[in-house]
Amino acid sequence: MVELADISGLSQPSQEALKLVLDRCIRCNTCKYAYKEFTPTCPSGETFKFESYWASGRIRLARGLLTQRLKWTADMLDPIFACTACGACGDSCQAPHQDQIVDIIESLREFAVKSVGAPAKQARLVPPVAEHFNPYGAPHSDNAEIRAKYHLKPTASVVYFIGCTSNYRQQQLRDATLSVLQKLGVDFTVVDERCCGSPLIRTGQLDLVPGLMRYNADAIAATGAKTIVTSCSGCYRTMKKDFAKFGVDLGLEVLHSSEFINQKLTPAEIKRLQQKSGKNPAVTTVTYHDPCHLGHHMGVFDAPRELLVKIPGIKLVEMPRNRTSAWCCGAGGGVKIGYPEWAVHIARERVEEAHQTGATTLVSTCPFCKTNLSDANAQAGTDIDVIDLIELLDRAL
Amino acid sequence: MQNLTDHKKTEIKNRLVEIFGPQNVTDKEPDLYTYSYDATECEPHMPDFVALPETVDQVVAVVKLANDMEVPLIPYISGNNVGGLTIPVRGGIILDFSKRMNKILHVHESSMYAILEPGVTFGQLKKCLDDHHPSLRYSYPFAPPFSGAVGNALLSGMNNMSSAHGSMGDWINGIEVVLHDGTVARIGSCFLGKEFRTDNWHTRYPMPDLLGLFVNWQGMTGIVTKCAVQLWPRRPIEKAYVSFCYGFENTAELMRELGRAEIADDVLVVSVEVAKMLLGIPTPIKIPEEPDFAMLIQLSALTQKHLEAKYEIMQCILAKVNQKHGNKIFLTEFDAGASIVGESFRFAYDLPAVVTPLVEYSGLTWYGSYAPPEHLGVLLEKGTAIFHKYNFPPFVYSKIMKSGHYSLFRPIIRYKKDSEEERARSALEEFFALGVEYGCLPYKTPAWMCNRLKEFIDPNWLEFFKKVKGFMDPKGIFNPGRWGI
Amino acid sequence: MTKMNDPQDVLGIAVRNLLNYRDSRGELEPLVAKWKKTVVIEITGIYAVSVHFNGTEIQIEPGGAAKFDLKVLMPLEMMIAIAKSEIGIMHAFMIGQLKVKKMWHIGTLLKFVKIFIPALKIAGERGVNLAKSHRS
Repeated sequence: MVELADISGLSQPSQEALKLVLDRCIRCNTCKYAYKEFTPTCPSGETFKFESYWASGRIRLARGLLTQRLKWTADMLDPIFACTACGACGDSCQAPHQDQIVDIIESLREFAVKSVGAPAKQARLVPPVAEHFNPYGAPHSDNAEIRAKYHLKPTASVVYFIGCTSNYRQQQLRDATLSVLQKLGVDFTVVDERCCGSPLIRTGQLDLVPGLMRYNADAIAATGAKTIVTSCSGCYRTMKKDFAKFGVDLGLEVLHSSEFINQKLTPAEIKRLQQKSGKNPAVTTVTYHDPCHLGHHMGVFDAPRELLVKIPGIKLVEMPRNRTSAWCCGAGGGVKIGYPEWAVHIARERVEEAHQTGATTLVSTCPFCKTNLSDANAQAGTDIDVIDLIELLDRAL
Repeated sequence: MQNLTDHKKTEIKNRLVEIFGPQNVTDKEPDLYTYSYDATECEPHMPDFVALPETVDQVVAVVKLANDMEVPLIPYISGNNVGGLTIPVRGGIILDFSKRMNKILHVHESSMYAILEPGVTFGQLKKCLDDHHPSLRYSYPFAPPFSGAVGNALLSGMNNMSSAHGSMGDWINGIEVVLHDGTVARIGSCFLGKEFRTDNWHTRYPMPDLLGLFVNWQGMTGIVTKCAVQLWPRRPIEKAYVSFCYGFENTAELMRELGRAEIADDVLVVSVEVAKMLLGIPTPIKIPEEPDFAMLIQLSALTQKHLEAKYEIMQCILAKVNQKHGNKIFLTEFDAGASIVGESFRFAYDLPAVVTPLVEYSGLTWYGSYAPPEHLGVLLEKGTAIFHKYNFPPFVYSKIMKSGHYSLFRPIIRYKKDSEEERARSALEEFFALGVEYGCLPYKTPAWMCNRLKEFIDPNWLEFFKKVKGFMDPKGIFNPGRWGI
Repeated sequence: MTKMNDPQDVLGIAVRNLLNYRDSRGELEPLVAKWKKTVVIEITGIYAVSVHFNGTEIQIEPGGAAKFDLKVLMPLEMMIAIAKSEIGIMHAFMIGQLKVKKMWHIGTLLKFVKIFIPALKIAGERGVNLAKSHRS
C-alpha cells in the first residue's frame, strides 16, 4: 500500500471525497461528452484538450497527489482551477462515483489551497467576504430597507434568500422576485443575510464558510419560516446540499424560486393577475438555459420549464444541448474571477447556440448565468435578450 | 523514461511548438502524468511531451522530428486498450489524436465503408451513421462510446458483429500511414492515384497485402492517419435472445454450433456473476442453484420469415445440445427477460455503452485472447476456477468468432488499483499460463505478456518479426518497448 | 409501499423486480397488507425461490421452502409467454405447462394470480417498449 499524503487538515467532506479516487475511475472517458448524444459538454476539456483538463484527468491528479506520486507545484493549479465545476461530467459519467465528481474537484481545490494557496485571482474572493459578507466588496446591506419598502415582517412562513449577486449586482432580478412574491400574496420576509459561501466552496477556500452558514441558518431560524426560497441557483445548491456537509442543518425546505412559484402559479392565479394588471403580452419565443447548479448539480430541469410555459405569451424552443447535456454559462467554479476572458468565451458558445434556435430571448434562472451570458451577448453583438425567468414572469403579470 | 538532456528537451519542445502551435503542446507535469498510466497493471511511465496533431502534415513533421532526435512517438486515442499500449515505456512524445484529428472523412454508402481519422470514437461513428446513414451499421464493443474505432480495428479488437464477421482487423479496407522517414503511403485499393480520394477505399485486396505490416503492430511500424473500415447493411429486424446455461462443455458446444450455423450476428457468453453485477451487485456470489453462464444471442433479419427461420435453426441446435448434455440450457427472449430481471441489461442493445461493472473501480485488466473453439469448454471451466482461487468474482467473457473459426476467451478482472493490483497481476499470470496451455493468443497484448509469450513462439518468427520491425523503424521511434523491442 | 429484502440471486432479483413494478404503482400494498403466506415459484430446470409474504414485509429467498402454502412451477418460456400475453394462465395450466401444488388453497392461488400475473404483463409490455425504443 502506498503512503498517502496527510489530508487531515482538510474538511471532513473533502477527506471523504478525495479518498474515493483511490478506488474509482478507470478513465473510460465517458465524462467527456453527453452520454449517447455525444455532444461536447465540458468547457475546460474542449478548450484546453489535454487529459488533465477533463474530469477523469482531475481524478488522476487527485490520485497522484494523494498517493504522493505527484508533488504540488504551480503547474498543478490550472488543471485544477480552470474548470467551472459545472457537473456535466457527472451527468455523463455512468460509474458509481458520478455524483461525487464535482465533490472530488472541489476537494482537490481545498487540497490545493491548503498546500500551495489559492490562485491569486480566486484568493481575492476571501477579503470582501470576510469584511463585507459578499464577494463583491459592496457595503453590506442588512436588507432592512427592503423589509421597509415591501412592508415585510420579521417573521413569516417563507424566507426569500436573495443571494449576493442578486442583491449587489443583478438587483432587477431581486426586485422582480420581490414583486412576484408580493403579487402572489406569499407570506415572506428577507433576513440580514451573508454570502451563502458558494464562491468560497467552489474555490476550495473554506475557512469562512462554516461561520457564514451558521449565521445564515440562525437568521433564517429567527423568522420562524418553514421554507427558504432563493432565485440564485448557486445559493440553492449550497443551501440544499452543502450546508448539511458542513454540519449546518437548516431544518427547512429549500426551493428555487422557479420551483416555488411553479407550485403556486395556477391557471386561475394567472388569470386573476392578468386581469388585475391588464397586461396582454405579445408572443415571445424563448429558449431556456439550464443553470448548472440547478440542473447538473440538483437535477431540477422541469420546474423552470413548466413555469415558463405558464407565462402568457411564451413559446419555448429548446437548444440542442439542454438538461443533462446543457452547456455551462462559463461563470461558475471561480472561473469568472479566475479566467474572465475564458468565462465569456464559454458563454459565447451558449449565446450562439441560443441564437440559432431562432428565439428572441435567452432565459435562465440564475443571476450569475445572466451576468456572464449578458457579457457574452454584448461581446458577440448577438441580437438576443438575456433575462431571468423571474423578470420575464414579472413583466407578464 | 529516457533521459533527454535539458538542451535536447528544449530543442524538441521548440520544434513541437513550431509544428503544432503552443496551445497544442505540453511538457507540464500534471498534463504528462494523466497520460502516464492506464487502468491496467502495466507499469506507469511519464512521457516527455504530449502533442495534439490535427493534420497529416503535422504528423509527417513530428515523425521526422522523432527520427532526427531519436525520440519515441506513442499514438494515443482514449487509452482504453486495456493493455498498457499507450503507456510511453521509454518516454517520448504522446500524440493524442482524439482531441483534434477526429473527423469522419467520408461514408461511402454504395461500397459500404467509412474513412476515419485516427481519433474517431465509436460513439461519434454511431451517431454519424444513425443520423446520416441509417441503412448502415458498424460493430461496437462492450466499451464506452469514447473509445477509438481505428485503434480497435488496428489491434484486432472484437465487437458485437464479430461472431459473424470476425475481429475488427478483418474489417479494414485500407489505411494511410506515415512511415519512419515521413513518407505517406496509402495501402489497399486507395493506393490508386497520387492524391487522396474518397471513392477508392473499397478493398484491401488483391494487391500484395502490406496492411499486415500495421495491423496488430501496436503502433510500432508507423502512424496511421486514415483508416477505412467496412460497414454493413442494417437489417430491418433485430432480435436478441438470452440463454441461461448450466455447464461448461455444453455451453461451449452451443456457441460453436451457433457459430457454424451462421445465423447470429453475435453469440456472447458471460459468467452469471456478470449478469448480477449488471443488476447492481458489485461482488456477487453465485449460489449453487444458479446457472453458470448467461448467453446473449443477437439475430438480425430482412423479413419476419427470415427471423423465424433463424429462430427455428437456433431451437434445433439447442435441442441437439440439450439432448446430448442433459437439458441444461434454457433459452428465452431477451426483451421480456430483461424487463423481468432488470432493465440494466438494455445496454446490450445500445452499444457502445458503459458496462457498469467494468467502470466500478479504478483498475481493469484482462487476458483477452483468441482461442481454439474446441477448447472453450475447458477454458470456461478452468478460467472460472482461477477467479475463485484469487477471490475475484468470475467475469468470463467469451464469444464465438467468424462463424466458429476461432473464439474469444477473455477473463476480466476489475480491481482497486492501490490495494489489489498484485493479486490481479497474479491472477492474470495464471490466466496467461492457462491460455498458453490451450493455444490462446492474447490480443492488445501488454508488453510484459509479450515478453512471456516469446518463450513459446517459433524463434524463426521472432527473428523475422525483429527484422521487419527494424526495417520499418530503424531508429526505434514508434512506440518502443512493445514486444520487448 | 412494502418492505422487501434485496435478493442476491438472479431469480430472486427477478421476483423482486416484478413485485416492484406493482409496488411502485401503489398496487401491491393493498393486495398483501393482511396476507401471510409462503409461495414457492420454481422455473423448471432452473431453480426455485420462496416468497414469504408477512403483510407488507416480503422476504424473497433462493430455494424452495419445505413448508409452503402454494407452489407454482413453469418453464422459463412459459413465464415469458404469459408476460407477453401469448398465453393465458388457465390455458398454460390446462396444457400442463403451469403446475400448481396445493392448488386447493384457492384463496392463495387467486391472490398469487392477482399479484404476479399483472406484474408479468407489465414486464412484457416494457419488454416490447424496450425493443421498440431500440429500433426507433
